[in-house]
Amino acid sequence: MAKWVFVSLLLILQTAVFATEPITPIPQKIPYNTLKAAVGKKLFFDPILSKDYTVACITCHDFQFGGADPRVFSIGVDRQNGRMQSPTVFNAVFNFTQFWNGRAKNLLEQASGPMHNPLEMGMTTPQIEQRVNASASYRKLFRTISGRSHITIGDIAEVISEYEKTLITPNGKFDRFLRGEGQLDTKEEEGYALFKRLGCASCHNGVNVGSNSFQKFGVIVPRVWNSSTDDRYALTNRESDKNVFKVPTLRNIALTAPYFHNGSASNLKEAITAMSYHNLGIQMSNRDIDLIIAFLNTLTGELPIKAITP
Amino acid sequence: MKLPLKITFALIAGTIALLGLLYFQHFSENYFSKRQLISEQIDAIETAEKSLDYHVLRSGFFLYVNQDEIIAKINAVERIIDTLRKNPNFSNEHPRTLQTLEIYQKAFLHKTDIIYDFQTSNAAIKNATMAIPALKQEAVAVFNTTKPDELRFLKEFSKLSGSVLLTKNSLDAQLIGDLDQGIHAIESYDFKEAKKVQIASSLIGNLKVFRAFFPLYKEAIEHLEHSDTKESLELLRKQFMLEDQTEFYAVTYFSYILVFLYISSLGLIIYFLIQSEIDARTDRLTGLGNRKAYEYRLRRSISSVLFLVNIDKFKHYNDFYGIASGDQILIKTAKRLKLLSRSWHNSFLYRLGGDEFGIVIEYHDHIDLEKLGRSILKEFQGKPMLIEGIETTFSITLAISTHSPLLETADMALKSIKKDRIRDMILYHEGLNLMEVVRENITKTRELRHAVEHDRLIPYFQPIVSLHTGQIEKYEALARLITEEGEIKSIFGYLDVVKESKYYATLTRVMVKKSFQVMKDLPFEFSINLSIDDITDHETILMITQTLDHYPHMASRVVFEILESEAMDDYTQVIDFIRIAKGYGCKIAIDDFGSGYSNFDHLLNLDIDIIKLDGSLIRNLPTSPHAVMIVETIVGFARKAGIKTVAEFASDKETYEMIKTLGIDYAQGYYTGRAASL
Repeated sequence: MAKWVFVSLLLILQTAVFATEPITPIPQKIPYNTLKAAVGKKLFFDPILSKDYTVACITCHDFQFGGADPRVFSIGVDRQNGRMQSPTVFNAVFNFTQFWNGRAKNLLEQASGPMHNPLEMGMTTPQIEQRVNASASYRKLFRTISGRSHITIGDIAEVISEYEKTLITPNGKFDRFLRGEGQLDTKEEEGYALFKRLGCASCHNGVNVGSNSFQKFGVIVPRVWNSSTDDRYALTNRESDKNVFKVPTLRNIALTAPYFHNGSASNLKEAITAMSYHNLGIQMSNRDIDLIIAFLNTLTGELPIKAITP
Repeated sequence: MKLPLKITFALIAGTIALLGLLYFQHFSENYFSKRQLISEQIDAIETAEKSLDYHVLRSGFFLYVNQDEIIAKINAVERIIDTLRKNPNFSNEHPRTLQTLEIYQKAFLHKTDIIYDFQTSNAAIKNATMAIPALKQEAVAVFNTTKPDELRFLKEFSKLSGSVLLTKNSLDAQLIGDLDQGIHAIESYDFKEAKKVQIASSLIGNLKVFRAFFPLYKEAIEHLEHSDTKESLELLRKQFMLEDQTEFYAVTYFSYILVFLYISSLGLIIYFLIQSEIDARTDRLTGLGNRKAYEYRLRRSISSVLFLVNIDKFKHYNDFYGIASGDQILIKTAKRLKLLSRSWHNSFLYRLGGDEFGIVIEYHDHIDLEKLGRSILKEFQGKPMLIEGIETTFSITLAISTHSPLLETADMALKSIKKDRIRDMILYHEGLNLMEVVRENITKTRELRHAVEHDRLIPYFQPIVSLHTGQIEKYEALARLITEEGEIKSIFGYLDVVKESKYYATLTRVMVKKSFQVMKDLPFEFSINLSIDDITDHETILMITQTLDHYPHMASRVVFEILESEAMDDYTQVIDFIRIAKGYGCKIAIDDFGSGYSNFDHLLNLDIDIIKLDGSLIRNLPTSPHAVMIVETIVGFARKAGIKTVAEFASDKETYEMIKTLGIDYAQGYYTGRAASL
């Protein structure tokens, strides 16, 4: 009895410790449908979803580069340049909305977006369905899932979004620290304290260290607005929504350069300098920047090796 | 309706009620669980939204907050809405509530947008309010308080820092004016040192952020406080209850229908029961109450009087014209009696037997029973019925009784007058002593049955003396019955019983058989009594002819005495028999001639050898000149027709002498010799 009370108290205490921190660890596993995820994985790597068979999901969400695109802008079909920096697919399942301006509510809504984007995969719904239905192996796979012989765009988006649930990166150094399984070194700990004190944590919090609110890039020192940018304004046409974006995740941030919606920062130092200047109104010292970088490096998690191996 | 049909009907009604009950149970259970689920989900929306509000406000208060909580609650509300919309019970059965839910969903979507806006402005304002005190600390270290302008700057800084906090926490837009002035004042400072410039510009930047986002922040908070969602959720709840109530009414009405169904199936069963009881008490043919109904009626009555109506010779009509005609007679009789009794106060008419009807009325002293009885008789006298297109007149016999048991006493009285057909109406009273008769009849029937079954019927022979020679010339065979106790009794006392019983033909045949056996070695003529019923009984006639064939030498010694007192309606059969008997050489006598039915015409038509004068005439000879005259007439007629005469009841010498004087050929009686075994 006493033992159980002790264990429960410990658990409550632990949750209480988590609760005080604005960041929570990535869960080890989230439920998903294995069969659907397997088919989704196949499609994720398959360029048949693009008009000229040059682009697959993996093209711009490269697992070697933290599930993002190392290029400033991704290159779509017909070698066209995109307008937005490709965000990471890792932990995207935890994003409150998808795309830079949150125009998709969830992964399911997001999945079919790039296929239809003329700058990205450049397909239409009938084309996508015709392509996938033409494949005997996909027909067979989908039949085991849906029991139907015809594959719809909905089926395709569903399996891809199901696969994306497997793309999570738990057990990073910071998560182990949060769970009380490991320690941060002094620099990292100082960096985290600075991160909170400066106000970064006001927007970068939660399981994804961001991705749970829309914020303006250039709150204090405004940035030039580019009309071709897909910001919130593109959706709402509200003046106040100009340069407002979904706060990007800082998970695996060390792996996903370049940074910002336009890839304007090529490394973390540039990104931190720009962000602290525009959004906090400060000019950070090199030492402080180093501390922040040290903290950000602890956000790199374990890659889901099985899921990302083709 | 036939019984199986009724049972089926009642079973179907019962089954429907039972199925209805089961369905209702299922229906109501289903209804309540569905209702519970929907109601719980509406509650869950409210709980989730309240939790959402809490997390939103919390994120406004605390510096670093995990905003995932906010997103989780938004998702929770959306998920419940989605579940509700996908619930077919909800969307199909509550269309209006669904509409309200859609309104709520829209309001919540709007609220989500406001929360997103709040998050944006909150982060900016939070960071600004956090940055300003930090800058102040830095400024205190950098600025020189001995320099008046720098001191003023620091004072302004302090004041601004305070009003930023005040403005944020009071959400008062009026304080923005002070802030604007402060910002304007700070902007006027022109410091040379880079560090001071940086602090001042950073301060101005943060203040401007605060200034810029405060209205948005305030608006978002106010919006959240007075969100449409609470109102529309309340509306949703009300609408659901309203719509649910209509469904609840359906449940209630259904239960009413069920109760109605149950009661009507009960009613149906009761109706069938009553109907069966009525059917059981109704005579199918005439539609009158039957014996059972009569008994039921009598049980509830204290003093009643029964008029028992019997159609005379109904059996004869039925046999003669067929059952269909018989039914016609019964129906028409019933109709007449119904019309008649309708004018009687509080009367009930029943069909009590094959050809018997009963009218029952309450008995009072002042009722003139005979007058009422006569009115019934009058209804039939001289008023023919049209049966099968033929006008036929029926007579009835009526017995009236006020003595319990009514039917038994009336029936006895009726039988007592039917036997001799003298009267057509009788009022039962105890002096008739009919009960005794009935009891005797029962004893006699038993004795008769015993005698027949044990071969204890034997012929006795009474001598018939020739008045010319004074010698016994022949005998009349008379039946005797030996009782269980060995007593030998005359059949005379049993004749009524015999006629009613199935033994009548047996008696005749036994007499024929045994008389022949006794007489076969004796030199006398002997007579055997036959009734009209015997003569019309083919088997009896066959038996007689077979016996005659068996004893051909005896035929000339046999006399058949045919009873005159029977109604000889069908003469052809009598004539046929006489011809057959005469063919064998037998003689024919008419028995009891002069008893009232005597008809000289008949005698001429029938080839008669002997007339036996009725006992009642002979008995009265010594005292009645009238009787003498009748006997003289008959004897005269007989002599002319060549018919021998026999006088019965020659019981004493005086009578014997008179008989002799009157020229009668033969005499029999106690005086000349009693019947005895030969």
